[in-house]
Amino acid sequence: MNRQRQDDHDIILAVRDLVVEHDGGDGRTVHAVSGISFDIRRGETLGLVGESGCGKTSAARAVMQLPRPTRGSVHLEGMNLAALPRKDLRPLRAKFQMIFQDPIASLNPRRRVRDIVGGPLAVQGELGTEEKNRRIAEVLSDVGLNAEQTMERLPHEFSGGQCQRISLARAIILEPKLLICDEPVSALDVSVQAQILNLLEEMKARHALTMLFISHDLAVVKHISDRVAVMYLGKLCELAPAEELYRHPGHPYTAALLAAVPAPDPKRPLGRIDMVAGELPSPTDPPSGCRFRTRCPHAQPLCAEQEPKAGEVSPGHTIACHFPLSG
Amino acid sequence: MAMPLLQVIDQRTYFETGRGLLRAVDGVDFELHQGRTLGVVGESGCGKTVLARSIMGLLPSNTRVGEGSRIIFDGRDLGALDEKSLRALRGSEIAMIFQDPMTSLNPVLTVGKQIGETLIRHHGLSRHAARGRAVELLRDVGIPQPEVRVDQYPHQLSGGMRQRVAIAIALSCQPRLLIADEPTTALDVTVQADILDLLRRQQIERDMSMILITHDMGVVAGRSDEVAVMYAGRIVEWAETPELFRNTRMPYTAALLNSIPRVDDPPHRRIDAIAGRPPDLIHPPKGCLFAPRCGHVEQRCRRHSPPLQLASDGTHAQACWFPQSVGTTP
Amino acid sequence: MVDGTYDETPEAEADGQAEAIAAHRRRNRLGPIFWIPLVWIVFVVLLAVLAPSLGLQDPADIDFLALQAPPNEDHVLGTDVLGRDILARIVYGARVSLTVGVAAPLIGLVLGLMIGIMAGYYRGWTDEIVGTAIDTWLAVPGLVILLLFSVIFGGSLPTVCIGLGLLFIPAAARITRATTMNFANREFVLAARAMGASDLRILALEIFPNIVWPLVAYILIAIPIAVVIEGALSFLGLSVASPTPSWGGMIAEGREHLEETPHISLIPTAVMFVTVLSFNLVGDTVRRRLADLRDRAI
Repeated sequence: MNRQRQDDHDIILAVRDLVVEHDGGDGRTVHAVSGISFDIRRGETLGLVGESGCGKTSAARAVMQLPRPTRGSVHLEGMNLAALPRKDLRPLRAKFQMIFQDPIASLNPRRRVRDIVGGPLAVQGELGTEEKNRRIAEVLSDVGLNAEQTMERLPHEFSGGQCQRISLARAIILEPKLLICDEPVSALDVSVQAQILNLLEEMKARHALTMLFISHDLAVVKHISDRVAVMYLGKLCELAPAEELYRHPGHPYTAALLAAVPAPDPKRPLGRIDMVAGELPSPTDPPSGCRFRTRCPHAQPLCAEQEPKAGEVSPGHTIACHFPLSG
Repeated sequence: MAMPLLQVIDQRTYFETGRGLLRAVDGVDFELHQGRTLGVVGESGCGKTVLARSIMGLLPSNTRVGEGSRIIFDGRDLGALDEKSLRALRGSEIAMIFQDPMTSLNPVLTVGKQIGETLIRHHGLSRHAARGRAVELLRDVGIPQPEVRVDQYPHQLSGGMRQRVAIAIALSCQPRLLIADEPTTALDVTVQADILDLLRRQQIERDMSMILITHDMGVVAGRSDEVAVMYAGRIVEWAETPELFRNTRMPYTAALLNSIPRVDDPPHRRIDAIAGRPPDLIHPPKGCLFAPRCGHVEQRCRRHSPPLQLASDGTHAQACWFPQSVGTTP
Repeated sequence: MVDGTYDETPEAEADGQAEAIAAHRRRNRLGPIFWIPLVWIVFVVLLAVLAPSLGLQDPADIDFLALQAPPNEDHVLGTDVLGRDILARIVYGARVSLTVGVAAPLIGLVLGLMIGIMAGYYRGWTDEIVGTAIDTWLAVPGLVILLLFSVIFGGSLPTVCIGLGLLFIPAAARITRATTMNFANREFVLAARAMGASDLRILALEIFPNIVWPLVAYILIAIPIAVVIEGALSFLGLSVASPTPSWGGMIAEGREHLEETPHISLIPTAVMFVTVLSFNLVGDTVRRRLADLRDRAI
């Protein structure tokens, strides 16, 4: 990507040619992520959307080095995490934290909230008990929980939304620079989802966070992101500022995704999804050339022969398509 | 007006739990006419799934149904039918589709056998005829190469295809009422649109009635004739679909609509989340159950529970003492 | 069931809670099928512990005047073939049975836990090596192992405990491995790794508290099994060497004289039967309780 030089010091996370492959079990290789590159600038939220099986979660975990990517580099504030030895990586982990989709499964059912939220302090810091407790109480009230009433309880005594708040408290207690959110609101009810989204925005402002926000929900992603990247079958299709992407989708897949979003408004005509019916190809045997071509209504012979390179159509708007949509 | 196909009268479905009696569905009334789609919308725990199961007569053993509760389908009181007649009704006249097509299909039977089974049992078709009919149905629900797919097992199909098969099974006996419980929640957004369109098309073509249960206002907006919003075991607002969205009266419905992030909104708009949590259905508070979270609450709301009142023109009903045209933020 | 979970404030729960707990207690009150066996177990344990200070006769003392005597004033439960007091031998035999019954499963559990948790957490080649080792170990007949053990190290109490303990390793390792795998993929483990926690810390603080209850349940099954096996070993002369009394050994000594003096074999048989049954009954109830607790916590 041709970002201008003077922006470089502002880039907190730079991912280059990230590849995640794993063993499919029957001797075949699953190509979960096949060479994606993107930057995140300090203080911004990058949304990563795609449907199930597109590799967005694998990409997020590769950034977290859990497990490490098969190939490619992940530079956090100039340091290549993918090349660091284990012992040097461990203290750095305080700088990048993650929250997960399942609010219940991400908390240990046998540990009290105090120990769950204080876990990172115990691992990373050398604070005294009193100081530790003060921090835990502080961060719990930060995420909207009553510290006194929650500290000594077990996770099963809380609702999904409250569990997600506890997860968030654990993630921000070390004041990380980067917060990776993997579908953090997908398991929640609409009204609770709204509370958590607002809370994430508040926390971002208060703790000067930079976020990578992963979701399958285009409306949610637009709400929280400054820029949005669309992923399909292990590749990035399109990356643009949020408004721009939703107003002028250039990749046929982005357009199809947008058309499919059900709007809570009966006056809005139901969009026709411009996509060839059929199955998502298997990530063990992805199509040649452009990965979307088997379902793309505009596919040409060229699309099967040559993989489209990401090209910039307007400042900051890149599309990986031989025949991008216009208008 | 013609007699409604389905009448639900004062339905109360309670569960005995370790902590006491849980009022999952607590006094629900509605009618559904032939050829109409009713969307039932609400959040987890509002009782929408229990309502569907109550109509199907598929309830666990710790259930208590209210004394005056009646479900009348096509003039027959389902509560008065014996188990055998109920079984005959299920699958032939009333069919149901579930959220997870993986668990609702039998993993060890081919798709064709599962569709054919109901045809052979309810309609006495021969094995050969049933298979032919299965292929036809698979084509109807938009499955490519139905002659090949008919001999495949559920695990060989994608999630969307499995839900299409589940729909084919539900349609196989020409039901008059189809209950779809969160039929697209487990599916990707592009697949969801296809499945919803398929359901709506089949409902209109076959002149069926349909109850579409979902947590997503966006799902019912374009694909239902009327919408019932449920909260804490009750219907709190009912109206024809365009009317409900245009002229929202119940504060809960409005709050729910406002808490949905929209694709048209600019990034970083603060969402109007609903504060607090739904009430405990074992020890519900007095008065309107939404009062503790309502932005328009008055003294009366905390003392007396508002009934579902139908407006004089008969197109809109709400359970609220102070209905307003609150509308939704643009 | 109702769709989904309810959002309940911890505060709102409190009012209904006391009443609910009372109702729960009433429903789950423990009956005589739990209490009677428990009382028996406590009784046997007390006897075994306090044996030297109970004023019993020496279990090795031979009363030449009362060989194979039926119960009488001098010997409450009679004497055995060599004229030794059966009551004293039963009480001292309980020490052997209970020691082996508890120690052997514990030894197996501790070793199996270490092996299983490694295999379940690290997977890969660790898992393969452990799996193969366990399969191999299971293919060797247990009796042969115990025979070798008693031949090489002699029939002392520690030898029997360790030898029998080794036989409990495979099951303990497999249970640990399966439960560990179940939890190792949960996101809270991922979260711990994301905060830079060491493997040891993850195993001790995140995984172990979650697998400890299935293992306690396993121990409860293993204790009565170990008591029975120890009995069988003594019967075959592979357990503690004479003259140390053990229940199995006593049954064996009396078998030649079953027709004239059946009490020599039957009394220890009955004691062992009641004890094993008690362990099973108490264990079942406790395991059901543990499962309930687990369901509520997850």
